[in-house]
Amino acid sequence: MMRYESLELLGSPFKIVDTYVYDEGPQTFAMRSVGIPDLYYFVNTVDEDDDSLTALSVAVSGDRYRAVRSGLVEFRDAFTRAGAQALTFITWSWSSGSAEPMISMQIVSGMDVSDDWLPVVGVRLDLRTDTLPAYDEAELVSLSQAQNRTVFALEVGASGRLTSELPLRAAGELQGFLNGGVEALARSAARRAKKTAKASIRPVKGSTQSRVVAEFTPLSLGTRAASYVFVMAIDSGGALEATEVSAAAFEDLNGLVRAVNSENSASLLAAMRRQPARVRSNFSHLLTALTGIDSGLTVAASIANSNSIIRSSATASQVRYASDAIKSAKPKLKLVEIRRGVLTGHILASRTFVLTDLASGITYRGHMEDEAALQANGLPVGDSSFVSGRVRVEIPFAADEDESGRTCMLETLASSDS
Amino acid sequence: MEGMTTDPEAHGLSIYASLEELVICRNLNPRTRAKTVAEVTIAIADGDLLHSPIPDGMTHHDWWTAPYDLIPVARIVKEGGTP
Repeated sequence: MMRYESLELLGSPFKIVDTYVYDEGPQTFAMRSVGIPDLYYFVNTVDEDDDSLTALSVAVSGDRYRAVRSGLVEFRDAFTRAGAQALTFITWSWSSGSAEPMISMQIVSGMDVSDDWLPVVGVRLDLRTDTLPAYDEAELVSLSQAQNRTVFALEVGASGRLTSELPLRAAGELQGFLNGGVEALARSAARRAKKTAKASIRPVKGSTQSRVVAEFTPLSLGTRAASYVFVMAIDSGGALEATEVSAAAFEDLNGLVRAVNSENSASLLAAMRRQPARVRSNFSHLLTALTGIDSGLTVAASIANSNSIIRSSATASQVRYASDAIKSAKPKLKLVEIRRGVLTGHILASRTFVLTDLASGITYRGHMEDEAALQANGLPVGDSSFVSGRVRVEIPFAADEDESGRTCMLETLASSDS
Repeated sequence: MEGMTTDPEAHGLSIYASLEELVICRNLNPRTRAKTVAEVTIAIADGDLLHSPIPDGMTHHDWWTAPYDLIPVARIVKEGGTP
């Protein structure tokens, strides 16, 4: 077998890191310089007869190696578009009576290589390749210790992606919903903490939010491989982080992920019900975003000063199952009797309405049922159009209870005296 | 190599369950591209099979033929030198 590791090329000795074609020894492979970081070679044996073997090698950087390995770049292009002085023909010749071959090398240009000695046009390697620094969970503890704050990570993996990449839209959604979810969990945890340990929560003047929550902001620290990892931290605005709040928030988040992992829709919905609507909404959207890229998730957090990691995971199929279970969960229905309201507007053709309840000040927008549409026909609209009616409000299981998450149906409508 | 029963390289044949995977691997290397691709159907009595995936070939297997010099019936599906 050939001793490629000791070839006298720049960066020798080498270590074979990938073998793509093996036939009584590596025939197409990649090797890395032991002494020079970030120097790789692709080697392809191209010709053989009774007395000699010829191979073509190309020196590439680590970035180029990973681009070719992942299939972003055709394998042939690694040779035909080689850098200056990077392409070498290596020939081993055996003369009779000698056990050791004579090795000759010749630097060539990609243009000078016969088509017969190149990979077929269009053929690519097709290997999952990390193109970002590797993710090491211990980094979370180390960063958390060094920065004295909670550091956490969301690990996802988009199917079909061979490099460390994620569609921008999915990346934005995942970070946005995680941010919203963590903030909402912190609010909820702070409320609980306030009940049990009032001393640790200092109210902000003029605000119902605790200072702890106002100063609880998730930050992005960077991305890692594989497949794709967001590393984030909690910014507590210069104040000492309220670790009882962050610990409770991340324990709750892990509880939700464990409920997804359970593949039990009843326990998942029960775990969701224990959380406020904003948490349910953000977590549900997070699962939907993961479903869009066919990914599972791992959430890991190192709470400030804890020196440890809490972690939970769910697979892509568990995420899909959970997302479907949440979407099919029974919505909350509410019938609102409006004794005195203002019909701000309606359009009969599209059966839409806008009605403000003067008692609560809440404005309802939505669609009219047949009966209400008949009753609305001919009614004036505007600030002085006083009406009574009944609105059916439907709030999906994982929607915000504010206007954006609910749907309204006007069931009945009648004019009332001013 | 006859008699080297403990050395898998002495007898193992590389085979792929997927023609697509085999063709990609074959077309990476000019020497293997020159080889002809044939389809064989392997019965239990024809030897031992080991699923031995390689980086670019998840359907790669090693086949230790029985007897070691078995010449199986094969159907040529791709001539040597054709991409």
